[in-house]
Amino acid sequence: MEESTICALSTPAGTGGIAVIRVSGPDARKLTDKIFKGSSLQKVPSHRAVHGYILDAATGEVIDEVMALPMKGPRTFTGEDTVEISCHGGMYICRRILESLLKAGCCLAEKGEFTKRAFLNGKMDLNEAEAIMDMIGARTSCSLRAALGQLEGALSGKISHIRHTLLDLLVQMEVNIDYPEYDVPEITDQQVFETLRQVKAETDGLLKSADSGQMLRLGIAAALVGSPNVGKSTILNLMLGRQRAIVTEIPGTTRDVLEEMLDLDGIPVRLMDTAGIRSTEDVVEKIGVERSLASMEACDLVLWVLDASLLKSKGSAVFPDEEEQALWKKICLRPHLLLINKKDLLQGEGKDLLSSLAASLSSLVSSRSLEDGDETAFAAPDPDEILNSMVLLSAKEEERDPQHQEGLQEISGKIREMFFSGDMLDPGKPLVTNARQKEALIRAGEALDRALQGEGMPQDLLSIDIRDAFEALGEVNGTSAGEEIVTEIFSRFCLGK
Amino acid sequence: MYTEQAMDVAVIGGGHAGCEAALAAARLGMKTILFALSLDSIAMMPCNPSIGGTSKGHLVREVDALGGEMGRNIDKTYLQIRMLNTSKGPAVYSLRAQADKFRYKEEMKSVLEKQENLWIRQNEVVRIDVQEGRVAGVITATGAYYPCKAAIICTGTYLNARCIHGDYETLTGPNGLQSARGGLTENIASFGISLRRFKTGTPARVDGKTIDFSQMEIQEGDPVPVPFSFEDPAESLQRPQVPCYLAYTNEKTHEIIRANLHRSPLYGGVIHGVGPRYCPSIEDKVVRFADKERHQLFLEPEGEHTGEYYVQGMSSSLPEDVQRDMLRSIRGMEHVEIMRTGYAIEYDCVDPLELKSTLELKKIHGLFSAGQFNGSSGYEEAAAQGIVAGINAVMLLRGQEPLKVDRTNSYIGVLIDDLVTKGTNEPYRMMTSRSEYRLLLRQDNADLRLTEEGHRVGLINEDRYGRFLEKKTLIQEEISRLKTTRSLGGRGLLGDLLRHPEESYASLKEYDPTRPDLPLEVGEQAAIQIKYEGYITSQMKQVEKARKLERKSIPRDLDYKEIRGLRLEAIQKLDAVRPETVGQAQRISGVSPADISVLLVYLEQKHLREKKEREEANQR
Repeated sequence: MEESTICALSTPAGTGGIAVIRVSGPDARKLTDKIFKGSSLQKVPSHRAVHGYILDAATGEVIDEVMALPMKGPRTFTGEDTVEISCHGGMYICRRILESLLKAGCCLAEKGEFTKRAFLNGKMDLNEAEAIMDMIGARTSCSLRAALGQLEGALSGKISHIRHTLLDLLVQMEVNIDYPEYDVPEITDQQVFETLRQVKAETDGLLKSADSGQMLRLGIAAALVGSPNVGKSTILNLMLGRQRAIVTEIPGTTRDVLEEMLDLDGIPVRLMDTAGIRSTEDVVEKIGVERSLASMEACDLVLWVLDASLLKSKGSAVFPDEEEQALWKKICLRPHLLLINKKDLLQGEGKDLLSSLAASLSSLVSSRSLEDGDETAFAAPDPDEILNSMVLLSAKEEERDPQHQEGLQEISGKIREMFFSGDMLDPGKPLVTNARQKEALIRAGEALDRALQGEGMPQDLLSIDIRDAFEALGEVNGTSAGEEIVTEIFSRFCLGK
Repeated sequence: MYTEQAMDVAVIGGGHAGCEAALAAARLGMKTILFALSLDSIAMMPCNPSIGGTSKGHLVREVDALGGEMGRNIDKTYLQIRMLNTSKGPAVYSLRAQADKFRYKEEMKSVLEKQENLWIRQNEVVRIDVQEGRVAGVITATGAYYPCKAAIICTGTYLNARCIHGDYETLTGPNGLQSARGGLTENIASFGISLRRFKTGTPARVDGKTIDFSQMEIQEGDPVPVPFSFEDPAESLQRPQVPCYLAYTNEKTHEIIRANLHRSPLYGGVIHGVGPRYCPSIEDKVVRFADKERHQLFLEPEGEHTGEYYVQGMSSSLPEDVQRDMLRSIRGMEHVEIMRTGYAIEYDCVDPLELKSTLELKKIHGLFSAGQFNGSSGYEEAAAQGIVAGINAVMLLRGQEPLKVDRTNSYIGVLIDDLVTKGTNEPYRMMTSRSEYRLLLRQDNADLRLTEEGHRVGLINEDRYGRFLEKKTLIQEEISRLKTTRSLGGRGLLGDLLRHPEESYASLKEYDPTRPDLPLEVGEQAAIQIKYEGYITSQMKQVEKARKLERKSIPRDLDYKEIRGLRLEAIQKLDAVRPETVGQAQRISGVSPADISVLLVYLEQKHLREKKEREEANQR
């Protein structure tokens, strides 16, 4: 019953030499063929692997040498036509292949979607249904948090700007259509096409920069934050000391944050070392917090460093200080780990102290419920969740003794768990977050092209493609897009009897 | 109380919804009775003297294609007809007529009177008798009990109505008529049905002989008017057309309004009902759009034999003397005399989330409602719901499938789906922007979309249906002919030429010597279908896709709390709306695509489990 053809990485990323990308849906073989150099996957026998190359859909350049396994439904996992592409396992390669598939017309699979399709096509046992529902359900609460993060991202900001321009255009066209006799100025075809060309140039530009620029740079962007003197620098040095290869070193463009690319037990991490904090922390502490906040805006993961000895000194009810409280309210909105440094200075019942800290942190933030159309709903983490996100370490000790780096290992273990466990399709994960936005841009670009080809067509027909572009850029369905337009019409124009 | 004769269907209210509902039920062979507070108010137009316009014209043609009366009635009683939006694409061409509102209602009442199976009664229904969750009868203010199997509430703006002009208010319905205060609201509320209070308004009517029309811009009808009804040939429209006039407010008008704002019930807090955004009063416009130097007004004749003019654009609830002063500040109206003062009106209506898509109330078997009572606005929206409620009441009594109208086949479907799925916070007005398949839902093809369904339910007779099938064949033949015939002068296939933006069916005539002599609408229809084929095909694909989810039905008694993986908000919303299909569920605000996935898996699991249980039972 599904119409779309979906694709996703189906092996855990970041590990292993070979990765498998699965394409499933009615056009699986046709769409893969578009970017596959080798025998036609539509013509070769089903269930037989074919050697070939995957090309970039836009440039035709070879991305990777692969084995492709085309399979006709229903004898497949999902019951649909499927192609499995075995490629070289690096994240960079996987990501480029996925993007090429998106450009060819595939959609990015949602979490649990392959399994859902398998179930709906009668390929799974009745008892498995609940596990599937749990899996999809889990995605929702997670994606709400992710959505929050995305709102602040640089790419999101630009996409939302384009979306506004399109809404503006649509509203002007629609008001002329629905209120032909009112003294609202008629938008001319020339104005429509001028805007369309400008928007198309913007989406093209964004896609291009997303391909070559910083946005495609691999790895998890992690920001190291915390009050002065808690040991951020030591932790940084510890992590750097452990690195196998520094891939690159880029001074930040917009603020004086230094990015270090490192490979943490096989996980590519882009560590945003808030250099600014280190130089100014002795002078004005306030600035430190502000810098931390700024660097958090663009990251996938916050590493919050707390000083174990300070926890002790505040008595039985463990509360971080005011500044840290403010910081926590921001941090808890994003994926994060709490690094409790100087564990050797942790006195008394360490475990109780941490539980007490978790409880007070949890009590500091309250859940926001989701009102109509309110995108900023948020589920506050409970104490157990917070406890689970804590890592106890002594950075100084570990730096000195490379044979005993349990803390560091725990950090990389937790990062792996957060970002690379099981299903890679969680929208909160950086690989996908960006890919979704790119998918939106690709679809919008296609719709804009169609609109631009309609020169000479009446405006109500052009509006069909413009509306498609508008919808591609926001996660709204067709009817709610209509509502957005109607609301905008009435707020902007003076109409009525 | 005494018992009157038993009926099948009772229609409460004789406005545009009530008329279509009663006619549909009676024409389908049901013993039907229509109650109106005053028989003089049957099919009355208490606001603007016009029918149709953008998207509303589409509704009228859809009502007509289903076998309704509004289109035919306006074709008999128009003062002027115009096709709007002709500079734009065919999807948004919109037919609009100025109506002789006196003749319109007289003509409609006469049609009702001649209708077999239809009784007309001046009386107020004050109670609906419900036995075991089913409609058993209705009771009038005079104590008459009419047993019936279904009832359709079409009370418009009459229920507990209150009219306000400035500091003066009356407990009347529209146009100074009696309001319905006999207890129907309380009776409906007693069934646990949630009610709302909405507000709307109308401008003053002025005396034409006190207006200097030479100071205004004249607006004539189309030289060759197009009929609304697919039944009426263009030649049958022979009425002389009457013009409208265009005028503007000015700075002085706005000053008068601003100086008297404190006397406005809207700003003084006297009116609590929710008013529509698309129909702001002039005081609203002046406040909200303060930088606008002038607002446009239309002077529209109310009838052929009256000098009354409707001042479109001047809706107001300011006191009478202020209304007079502001009207007199307008060029050409310096000496104008008011005949009827403009007013705001508040009335009781239902929360449309209480309705199924058949327009039956979820809580009471056999109780339907239509029109402004359902939270809509406008004569055309009312008529559209009226015919749907009328047909569906009959289908329910006959145990047959309800009328198939949905977002993919009609504006009527969009209207009803929006109301019952999203509810509304203001009187709902139809707009073409509300339809996601606008190109498919054109006014020119309303018959192609709905005649089949009108025939299935029995409102389109064999004679009309035969003519419809013939037209359909002619269109298909003309499409294939155009696609395969070469043009004179070697310009290629006619079908290909037609796709050029600058070409039209008419412009190609000279290159098309073998063109058969076809009715105008057949040629035009064929041309539209070829010219916009690419767009039409892609919208059709979207429709096909949407229909798959529309066909997946959800049991009415589903316990959403039981479904694992659904978010709390989704559970609450789904539980409140109780969507009939997965398609409808996905349009509820606050229900995410992930929730829909969970729902799909749950429904499949339920289906499998039930199947398994059946098999096991069979084995035993």
